[in-house]
Amino acid sequence: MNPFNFAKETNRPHVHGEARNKILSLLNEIDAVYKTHMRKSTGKTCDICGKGDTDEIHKVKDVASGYSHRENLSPCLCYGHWHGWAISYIKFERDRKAQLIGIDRKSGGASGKIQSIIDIQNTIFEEPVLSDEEIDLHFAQYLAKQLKKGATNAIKL
Amino acid sequence: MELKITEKTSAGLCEALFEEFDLLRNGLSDAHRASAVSKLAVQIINTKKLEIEAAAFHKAGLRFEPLALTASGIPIGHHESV
Repeated sequence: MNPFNFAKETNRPHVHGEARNKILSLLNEIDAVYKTHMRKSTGKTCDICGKGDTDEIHKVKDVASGYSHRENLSPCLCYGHWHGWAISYIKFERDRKAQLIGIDRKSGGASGKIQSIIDIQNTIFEEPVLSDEEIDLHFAQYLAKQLKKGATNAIKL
Repeated sequence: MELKITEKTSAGLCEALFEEFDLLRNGLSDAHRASAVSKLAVQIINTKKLEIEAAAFHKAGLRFEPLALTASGIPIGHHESV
């Protein structure tokens, strides 16, 4: 039994009541410190939309997919844009891996696609399959799409 | 106005696009200009991607010169063999 479960137990309050109350108050204190810290802004904003990062879950990501080895060049993205970029990057990387091991991902239906993903996951690549230049170019493509989206929405308004 | 020169690399292109985002957010650019910039960027990106792909084929041993220098060029839109 861990302190969390112990604090929640209700049996024999005359024996454990005092210890439980103490643990519970400490846990509440830890929770408050955690929440205050997690909601603290890092002062960074998303490079695309300019939104801040005070939300507990949607923190601005310091190192985006594809930039983990280049922290100084890493863009700052909010959760939405980070997620969009991560999906785009993973697809790009997976296509390249499929190309390198000679898998045609477009044929074979749904089961064929799943099998191709499994095959790619099971293959070990000794070197990164994408160069920095390609990652930058793909990121530029993602940025251009986001800019086009923003501009189209602004024109519609 | 200071003349801004873009660094002619993929990272430089990202910088130029980020700058456009900043200008748009701060009201120094407008949606039509941003749209034009994004379209221009897509053209540059597609050209660069094609160059990278061609370089990969070249590395694998495929030579483009005989195709590129043929007077008739490469027929487009014909699937049937003549």
